Amino acid sequence: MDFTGLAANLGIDREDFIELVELFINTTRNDLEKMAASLLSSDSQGAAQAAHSIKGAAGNLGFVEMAEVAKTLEMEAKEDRLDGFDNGMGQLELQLGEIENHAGL
Amino acid sequence: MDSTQPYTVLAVDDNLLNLKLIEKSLAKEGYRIFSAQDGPSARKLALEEKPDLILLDIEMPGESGFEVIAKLKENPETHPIPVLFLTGVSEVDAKLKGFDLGAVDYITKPFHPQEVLARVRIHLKLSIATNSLIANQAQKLRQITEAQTAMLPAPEDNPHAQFGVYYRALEEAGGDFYDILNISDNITGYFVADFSGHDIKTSYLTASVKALLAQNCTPVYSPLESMKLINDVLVEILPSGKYLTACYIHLNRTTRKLTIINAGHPPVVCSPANGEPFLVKMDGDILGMFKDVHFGKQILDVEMEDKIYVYSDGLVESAQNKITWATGAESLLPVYQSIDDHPYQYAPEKLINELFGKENLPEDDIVVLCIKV
Repeated sequence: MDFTGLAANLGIDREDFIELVELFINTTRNDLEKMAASLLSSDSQGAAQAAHSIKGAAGNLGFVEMAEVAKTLEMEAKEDRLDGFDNGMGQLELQLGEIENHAGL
Repeated sequence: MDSTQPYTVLAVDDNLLNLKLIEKSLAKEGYRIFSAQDGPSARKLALEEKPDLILLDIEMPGESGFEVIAKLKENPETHPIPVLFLTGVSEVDAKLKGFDLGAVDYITKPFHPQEVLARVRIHLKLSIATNSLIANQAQKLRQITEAQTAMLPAPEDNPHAQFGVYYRALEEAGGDFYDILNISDNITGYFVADFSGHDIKTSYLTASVKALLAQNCTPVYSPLESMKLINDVLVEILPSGKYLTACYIHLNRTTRKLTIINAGHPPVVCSPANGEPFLVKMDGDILGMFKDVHFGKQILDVEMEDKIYVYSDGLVESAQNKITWATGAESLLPVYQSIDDHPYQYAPEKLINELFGKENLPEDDIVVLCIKV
């Protein structure tokens, strides 16, 4: 994971990027909690919103793989298909953990 | 926009990360950023800070970006601020809706900060260019208004002409025009005209008409000849579709002969010192449209202290009430009678006040001249 490259790609320096990553981790954790709660109550709309939020945030910072997973989950939730969500959420948590480690947070 | 102040951008997004990303990338380039995470606080900030540009997310909980932009565009204070919307929605309909509501551009999410920066730059440039164009045009129109007003002779500068005037131009460059011509010691010409259309072309033309009047309203030509000569030149120089309705009054105070030439203009009102006011009706072609014209002409014997009213159609017409001057002029005769005891200098203003009150002026240019024999 090349934070320096990702930062340069956004036109900001590494320090600012790490600050954004920190914010990203917090908001994404929050969204994942919302997603889990939505899943428990079979709330497809809530799940789609949480996935949408993660997709946008990950995409903006250049975490392409996370954004792809979130995009698939959003589409599935919009189609009321929540059966594959556990797996997708697991992937997102894993990816988020990697980012967190890499950032040294 | 003051060039010494940083340009300000209001970024609106319910996603804090997006906001921070915009903030960091734009601040680094010298922009000052205001941030809002929902519609109502965005509108409040827009009103308080008047940012130079707004970046607005469409999908927000509560008030959506569409609602925000609609409200911003409704308010005259925030209406001119260019709005770029951020949308994760790739559907064409949402983009079109944004444009319909008044947005200047959109950025698809996830956005790249460099793209945001590039679009912010281009739209600020466009906005600066538009604003300076508007300021420039307003300045030119002010100059025209000043020049046009300077072209209208004031009664106090022409005491021999013995007239009072009320003049009001609805727009910066008015379509109504009058002039006073001191033909000789005892002969004065009074010219009132109404150009078709009110625009800058019209206001430049008033200068031409003024020059033509000075050249052709001389003791050498009869009033009818003067108007025909002016008509022939105007036919050549007026842009197509432009014409004037006009009334030319030629008053010889020695012989007490009043000659009226009418070119499609509302009828003159004659208010004798000892008698009831009456309309001097006649047909006549408009000025500046046809080469072979027939103007209305009447010669009246007048007495000292008689008053003559010449005016533009704004006095007697009402688009709202569907009154044309053919009927409007007739119905006003009692009003002239009622203001008869007013000195001619103040009669036009009194007439306007009687007709419209001070706050209900009609939706047109108005000129009223009162001439005392």
